[in-house]
Amino acid sequence: MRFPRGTAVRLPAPVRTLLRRFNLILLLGVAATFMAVDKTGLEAGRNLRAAVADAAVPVMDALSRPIESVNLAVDEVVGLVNLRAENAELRLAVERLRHWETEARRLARENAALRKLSRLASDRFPVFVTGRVVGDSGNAFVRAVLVNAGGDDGVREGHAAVTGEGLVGRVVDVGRGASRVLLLTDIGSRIPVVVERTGRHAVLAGDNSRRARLSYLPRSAGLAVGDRLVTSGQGAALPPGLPVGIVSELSEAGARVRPIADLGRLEYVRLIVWTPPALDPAPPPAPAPAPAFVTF
Amino acid sequence: MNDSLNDSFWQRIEARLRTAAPLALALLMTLLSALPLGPADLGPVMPFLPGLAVFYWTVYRPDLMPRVAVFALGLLHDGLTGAPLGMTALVLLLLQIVAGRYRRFFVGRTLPVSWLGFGLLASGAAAVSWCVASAYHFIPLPAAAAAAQLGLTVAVYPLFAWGFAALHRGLPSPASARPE
Repeated sequence: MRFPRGTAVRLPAPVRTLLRRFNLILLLGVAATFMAVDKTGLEAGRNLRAAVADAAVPVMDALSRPIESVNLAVDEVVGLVNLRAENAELRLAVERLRHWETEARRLARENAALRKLSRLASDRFPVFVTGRVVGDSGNAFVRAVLVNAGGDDGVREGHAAVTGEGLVGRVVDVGRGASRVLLLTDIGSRIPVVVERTGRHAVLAGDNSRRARLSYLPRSAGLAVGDRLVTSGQGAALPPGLPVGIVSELSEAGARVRPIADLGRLEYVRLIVWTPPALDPAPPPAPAPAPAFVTF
Repeated sequence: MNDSLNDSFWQRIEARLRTAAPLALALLMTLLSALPLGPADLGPVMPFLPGLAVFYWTVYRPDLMPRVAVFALGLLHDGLTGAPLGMTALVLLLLQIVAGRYRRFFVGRTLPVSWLGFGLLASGAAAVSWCVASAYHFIPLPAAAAAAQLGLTVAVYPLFAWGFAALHRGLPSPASARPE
């Protein structure tokens, strides 16, 4: 018994060649179009990227588990080797932190008293969503990580990603169960910051190297090596006051900033679900007029 | 009669599965290339795995690496890594075109020849990536991470070529898979 196989209609060879060519040109065109759409920042591009990430995250989650176990095992061994040195270091740290604890308690009391005096509305407490890093940037021109928490957990675009130490970056793509965090060292990252010591505002820009660059800061700003930078909370969904980096180098070309968070070792990140007050849906009492730059 | 029909049915299923293996492997390699293995701020520490797969199969079994699949692999890689959407798709397609055009120089040659060929093509692909990424950001990007990844990718080629060749030997030949 024979079954008919293959296509029923055979196209002439030149037509098939033409179709193949067309197919190729079409695909190249689609790729270029995707990039153009992505560049314009249209929602379609972001949605498509988020959808791809969303579909892949369960698999990436499973694939990355063994890596986590290996990392933990390595940490364990390294920890055992360094036990003595680490112990001494921790003793010193505890001593130093005790002093800061006293200071913090005193400041908290003082802060509460002043707030009462000035009837300042209390800051809303942000909600944290913890996500595991399941994907790294396998691309040489991007510094980003893929996290297994997304829109279903309340994460939105622009939210801050932090570790216990400080800011890591911010969320650029959000799927249902996945989101991508653009590290603050990525070429596309711009973080509004303020110099803690002087109160001067500036923008921290990444350039794909391990240290970010400080821009929009006049040379007379009196910056010094060792100055801490924190988020200013301006113009984005980043809460103010998050530690960002430390000025590590000053030169003619500008200031270089070392991120406070260890971006080389990201296993878990916390995403801060926080909306700036001006962007809130109108609360019952007459809301303050929204700033001019906010568009809905 | 029924038994032989059944046999041929299962044989065909098996042949289909085998011919899908290279693509499935390429898909897995694309996912693996985005795993969080090294320091996230240093750039990739994994070789450009989808490039290895696309090159090998385009040269040795182009019928198993259709263009649309290459495009999809690239798009998946972009979605995973956060690169401009379509960038890797474009680079992989160009890699496939050039590899396909010069495949007769590689088929039946020794490993060093195909290794050299891959080295040249991978360098070209890296250069195109750099150009596209720089154009996307309107600024010449640092190329050190890309150069490091290129070196790594070319260095691991023999290992993957050896693995692919082992899989290749277990595949039904294109002549028997083709309808009479």
